[in-house]
Amino acid sequence: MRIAAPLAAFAVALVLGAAGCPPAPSAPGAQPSGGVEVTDPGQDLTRSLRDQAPSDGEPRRGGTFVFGRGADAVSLDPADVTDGESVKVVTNVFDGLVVYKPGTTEVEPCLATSWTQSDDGLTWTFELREGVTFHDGTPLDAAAVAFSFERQRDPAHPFHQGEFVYWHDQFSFVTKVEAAGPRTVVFRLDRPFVPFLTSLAMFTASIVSPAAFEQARAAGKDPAHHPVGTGPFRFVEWRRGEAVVLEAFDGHWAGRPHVDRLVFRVVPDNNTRLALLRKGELQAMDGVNLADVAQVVAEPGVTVLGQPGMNVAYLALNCQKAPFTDARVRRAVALALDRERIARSLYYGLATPARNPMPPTVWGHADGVALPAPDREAAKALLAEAGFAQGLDTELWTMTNPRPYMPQPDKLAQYVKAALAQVGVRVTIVPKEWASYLQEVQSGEHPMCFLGWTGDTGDPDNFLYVLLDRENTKKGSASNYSFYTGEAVHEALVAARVERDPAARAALYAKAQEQIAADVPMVPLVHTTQVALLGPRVRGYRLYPTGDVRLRGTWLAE
Amino acid sequence: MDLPRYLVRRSLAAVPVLLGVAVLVFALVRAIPGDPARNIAGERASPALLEEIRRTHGLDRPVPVQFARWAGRLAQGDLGTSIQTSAPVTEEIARRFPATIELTVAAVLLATLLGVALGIVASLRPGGWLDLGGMTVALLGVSVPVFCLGYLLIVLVGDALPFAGRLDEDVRRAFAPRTGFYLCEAVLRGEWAAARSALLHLTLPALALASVPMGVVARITRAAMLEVLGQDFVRTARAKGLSERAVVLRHALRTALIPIVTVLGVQTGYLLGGAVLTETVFAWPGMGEFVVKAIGERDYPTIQGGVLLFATTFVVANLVVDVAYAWLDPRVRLQ
Repeated sequence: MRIAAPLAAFAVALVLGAAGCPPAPSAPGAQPSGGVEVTDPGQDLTRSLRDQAPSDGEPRRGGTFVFGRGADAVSLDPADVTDGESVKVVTNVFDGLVVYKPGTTEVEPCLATSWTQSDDGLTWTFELREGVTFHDGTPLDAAAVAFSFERQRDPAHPFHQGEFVYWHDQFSFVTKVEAAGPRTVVFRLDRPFVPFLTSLAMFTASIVSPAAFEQARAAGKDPAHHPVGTGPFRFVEWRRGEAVVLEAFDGHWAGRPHVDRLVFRVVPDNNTRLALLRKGELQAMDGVNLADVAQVVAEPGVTVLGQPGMNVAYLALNCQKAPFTDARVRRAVALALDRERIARSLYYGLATPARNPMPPTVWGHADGVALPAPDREAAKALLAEAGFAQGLDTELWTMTNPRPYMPQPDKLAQYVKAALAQVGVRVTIVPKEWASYLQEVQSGEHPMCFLGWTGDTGDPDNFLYVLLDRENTKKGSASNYSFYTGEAVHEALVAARVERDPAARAALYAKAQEQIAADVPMVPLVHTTQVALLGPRVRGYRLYPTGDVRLRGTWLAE
Repeated sequence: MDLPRYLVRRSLAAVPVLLGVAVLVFALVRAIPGDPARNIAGERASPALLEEIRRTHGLDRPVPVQFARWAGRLAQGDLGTSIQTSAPVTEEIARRFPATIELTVAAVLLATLLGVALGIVASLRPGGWLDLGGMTVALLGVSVPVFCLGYLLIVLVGDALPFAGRLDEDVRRAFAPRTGFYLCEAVLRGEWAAARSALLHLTLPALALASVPMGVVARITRAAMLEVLGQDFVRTARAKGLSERAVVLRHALRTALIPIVTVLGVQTGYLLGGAVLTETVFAWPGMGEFVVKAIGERDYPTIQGGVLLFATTFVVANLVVDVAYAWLDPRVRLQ
């Protein structure tokens, strides 16, 4: 049949073409290609951006708030989502036992009003707020809280449907959650773990309505598509691939939100989304092309908000592989790189040069750790002292695909190569496909590699322990890609996991960060800026370090 | 041969083609590096969890076994479950394909009307300024990338016309569509506000999508008309005193339509599967954007279902073209 050949060619082209290249014309973070512009530092945009919209005047009730984003939610079951787009929706529909204080990653009471730990740290008891109801009218009680966690923990639970990735990652030490009274919930742990409280502020620890799950099952519906929580907004409708529609919940325990409706609308193309914001069809959006921000900042009708995101891009130096077994060589690499320049040139000013493995918005960040200024002579001197007066040859492994924390890994690799060449370190760049990259660097064969991390909980443990504790250096499943085994850091990090006094914990993390800065197992490069664009009528909107979009306090001016 | 028998025979002949496409796509998606389980579970998933996800989706089985299971379900009209959204692929297609069909039909209609008109006008005075102008427009239509044209339309007329989505949010709430064919449904139900909104939303994406087939049709029309206008029967028609209008539109055009219909058939097939950029730029919730996203996420069942659907529409479009030949030219026999 004569159509067979073109048809097959078409199928092949479709599959291969789309697999081999990022979606055209503008995936989030995609940038026009060109030479490496490391000679002309741009401006530092991040420092000039505010992290919240004006909140002057009396909040006005009413109106529809449309938030534009590049992709749809995947699921609306808060315990079973991992992608940012789903999280934006569920954080407005659900509440947790505790919540992040606006602008920080410290927690404060939410559905729980108070909590205590047993002396051995193995039992946590939470007292629930009175008079809270779910959107379906059923009251919040301890049984609902136990249901919300037990269905994730217990594979035999009738509603254990899903992968529950974050449960395995963040709560694997919980052995049982039970109701000890109508408004008293008890968590039993198999080891003391203080960061547990911060984890409870995550979307994955949302409290769901058990009645809604029962009803969905009886009606043959998927509860993940009909979320019922106690949050400020009630779920109305999900048109897959188009929009999620929520409306204000009159019975919210902290008071009804100001806007009547909240719509999360999918607009895949970054330029189209910006055009819709300018036209007034969107009140807010994210996913702007980094290169466009400088221009948009100057537009009168658009407010640009920015804040260091809860992430880090870093250069891991393999402490178990020569020549990086020598701390002087690692320090020399750090001295050769200009992080200010990287932030301004390769991130269009939308990144903050990093001082520590964790961003300044995470509590416990050691502000005192000094950023060593780039110093080529000092770097050369250190290399000579380590026996490399004639320079050295090494490899830099890098992923080829853009990552949220590293939109242009290829250009960054070229910059690092050029900068290190100036101190006598001759680098061969080894590019690798992202799909298999993690597995390859987990084996620990790389001398240097690029990686990054986006925090989950906002607890220092979630950065420092994951990235630099020696317990995470097991080859094949490592998350400490520097294969750094520093004893002092390990002791501080492990002690901080059981220390109950927040001030003492912060001191332990400060100590760990100082030691890390001294040992240089990695060169933290930048924290990319989270950016949101707002229309002219938006008031009382703010960025959250966790990247959450919470709209209870937002309103639309006349 | 009569039409029903012809259709049955051609449909049967399409089965091996579609089967071939199915095998090819099934093998190809598994040949691309990447792991659907890793895409679901994220970077921090444990090997045990990855294993569990592979088992749930049957990805731990040997590829031939996976294929047999998929083909078995396919025979019952089940395309499997999307790995990414956990919804049946048929459901996802049912939701999105109508959007793509409405957009494609609108674009093909626009392309045919504009392209044929341009082609005829150009062919009447070959080398004249209308010919030059018309063919320049056609050349631009073929060569300007769709997303460029899309952005241009948004910048130029985006203030006057909607350029994202299919309906205004408040219109949609009142209309509450029951099918994915918003425009058709609105007209049939007599919901004029919704019909108007749907038509306005359709305008810019259809214009952008129409540009390439419009250019192709214009050029083919011009060439075909030039050839036909030089033939004896046209001279005879003119000689017996028919108006130029009747000569061109009734006699010459009908004969020239055969190559035009061929091109339209192929273009329609491409548009149904290839409207990716247009759908992305205009936030049009159709198939193209959905399947491309599925490829990025290694959502095997969705890719397989989507490509099979595109292949089927291609086959159907070609069948329609072949039937149209017989209708246009009595000398052509279906056999």
